[in-house]
Amino acid sequence: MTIRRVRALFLILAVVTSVNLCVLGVRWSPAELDLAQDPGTEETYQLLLTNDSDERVTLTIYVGDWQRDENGINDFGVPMNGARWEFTQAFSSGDLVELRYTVQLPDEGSVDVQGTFRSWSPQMIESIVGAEQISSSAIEQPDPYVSSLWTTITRSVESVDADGIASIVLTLRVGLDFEGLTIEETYAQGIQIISLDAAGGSFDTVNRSNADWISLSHPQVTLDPEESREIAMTVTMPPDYSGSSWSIIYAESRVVATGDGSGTQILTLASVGMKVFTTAPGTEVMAGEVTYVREQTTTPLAISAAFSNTGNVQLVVNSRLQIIDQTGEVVRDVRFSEYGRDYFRILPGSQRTITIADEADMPPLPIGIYQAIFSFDFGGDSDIAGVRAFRVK
Amino acid sequence: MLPNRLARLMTWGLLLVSLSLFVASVDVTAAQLGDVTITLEDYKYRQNKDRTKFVYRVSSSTRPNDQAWILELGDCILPEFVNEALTSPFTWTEEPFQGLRFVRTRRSQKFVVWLSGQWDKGVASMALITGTAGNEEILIGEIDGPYCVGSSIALEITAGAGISFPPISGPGLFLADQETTLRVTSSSSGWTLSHSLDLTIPTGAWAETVERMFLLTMSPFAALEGTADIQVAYTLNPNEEDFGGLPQGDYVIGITFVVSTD
Repeated sequence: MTIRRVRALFLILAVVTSVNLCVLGVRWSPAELDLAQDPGTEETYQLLLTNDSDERVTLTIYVGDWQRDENGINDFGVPMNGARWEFTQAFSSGDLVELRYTVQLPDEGSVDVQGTFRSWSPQMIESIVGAEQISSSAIEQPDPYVSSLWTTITRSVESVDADGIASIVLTLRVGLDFEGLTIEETYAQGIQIISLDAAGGSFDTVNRSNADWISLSHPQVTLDPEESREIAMTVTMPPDYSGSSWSIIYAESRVVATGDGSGTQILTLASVGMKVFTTAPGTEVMAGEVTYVREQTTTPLAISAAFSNTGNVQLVVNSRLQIIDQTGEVVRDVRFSEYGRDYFRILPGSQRTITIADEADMPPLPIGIYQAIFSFDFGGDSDIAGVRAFRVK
Repeated sequence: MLPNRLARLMTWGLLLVSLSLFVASVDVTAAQLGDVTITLEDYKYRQNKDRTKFVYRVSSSTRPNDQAWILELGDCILPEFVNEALTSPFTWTEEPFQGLRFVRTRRSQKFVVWLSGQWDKGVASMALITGTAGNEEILIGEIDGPYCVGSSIALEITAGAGISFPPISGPGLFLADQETTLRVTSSSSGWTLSHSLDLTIPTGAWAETVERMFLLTMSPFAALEGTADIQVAYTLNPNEEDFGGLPQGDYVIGITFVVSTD
């Protein structure tokens, strides 16, 4: 321990922002794009990128995937054209875990894939081994379990059916104990990935991504202070697409500054993302359903509801909670709001959970039986609602 | 100006996504609608009053009769932005597009428009309507006017450059020598701010150890339309065990701050 402390005296730890800039800034205009474009067409749009820094900076521009989680929080960590599995539990030496998923092979019948996995504690990052090209000729059963000190994940193609759907198995063999695991698979092109068995982990992918349809005129630009540059974005819509798809275009400043004499290199990164939605006109399906309504607590009152977007376009949803007592009187009538808005947005295929609770100074509901009506207006023909009866004791 | 201008405007309305992003590069300070000449005589932003002035002259060789001139105001310009006291008498109209309707009474007439705030100048539509309801002739053209630049979202790091920690001399709580100030400017509410770490650490160091003992704290903020300043503070809180994963050397914690619409 003494040795460690002596060593620590020499530890120099620096947190980064910037060294040689007073102001570092990036601006996209517009803030977001919502494009209507026919399937099978190619269109080019102009975006405006501005350097708000007081120095000349180089901005890297690239496309990524994103989604929202059940609480409406943006998740930018899903790999583009890929999928992510996360496990919070501990794994022990000798564990064998199999994950299964399918991919729809492109017309050419094969697609390349690469993957990595990262344990959280202790931390290690390794590549997934095994089949790197998914096709019918790559079908191979997973290797029988072989004890090893090394933790490995092997990819195998189990089958490819007549429709070109390939079944993939990821086999995790645990060498040394660890806790927490993230697995990422990244395909060479946009492809539909469906989880069959996530082995208890969470699974995320963006099956309605348009990232692969977008090409940019500039992967990188260098701009003077307050200089703006038009970036051409070409969107090639596939011929058989319906509904909406989405991605995000990042403009990221990267400043490499010299250290302060201690040899420390400092990086400063500011990134602004422009979300891009593309929708095939005339194919929009707006649909939703209330998955559940439940009381979190009755004193103070807090009612939650989950709304699922079962259509194929993003929905803008207004929500309202009414509490009705046994006499039929409406004793609560509250509209949902967040970020100063009276609505939330939800991507197709997603679920959003919202909770409406009494303000701290509200008197509690008297003892009795009540009905909670959570209604959602998403622009459809009529509102939909979920109802839940509950008792206040 | 062109017979099909109205139809083209409607088409533009359907394609409003990206086509309204930029200020047109060609100024249109004078235009002709029939025998009527419209000229933008003055355009000025008064910083002390935070308002913008557009002055037009509308003139013709003959005295107008039942004639109105309409200047388009884009969707981003609300009626309350128009300073009624300073602007020439007008009525707010939605046809053939949203804007201000001025009645012509003289051969040469000056129309003044005052808008609260600072407005860029760009190509706006205008119309000349002659006749009475049901028997109107409409001419449509373009002139420089108040312009909706479009939405935007920006992130600035306005302070907090060169932040470092004091030497880590043992277990305990270490504060960075200063905070970072982020400024988010968004044309709409509901934006999101996140960050990710990218570590550069000496050989033999555990990234998880650094991640565990590093804490980034943002001041509360409301993701509303406009500008928000956010303070970011940093602490390191190593325990005795952490030192086993921290060999001597230089450590860099790269932080990418990411902002986007919700």
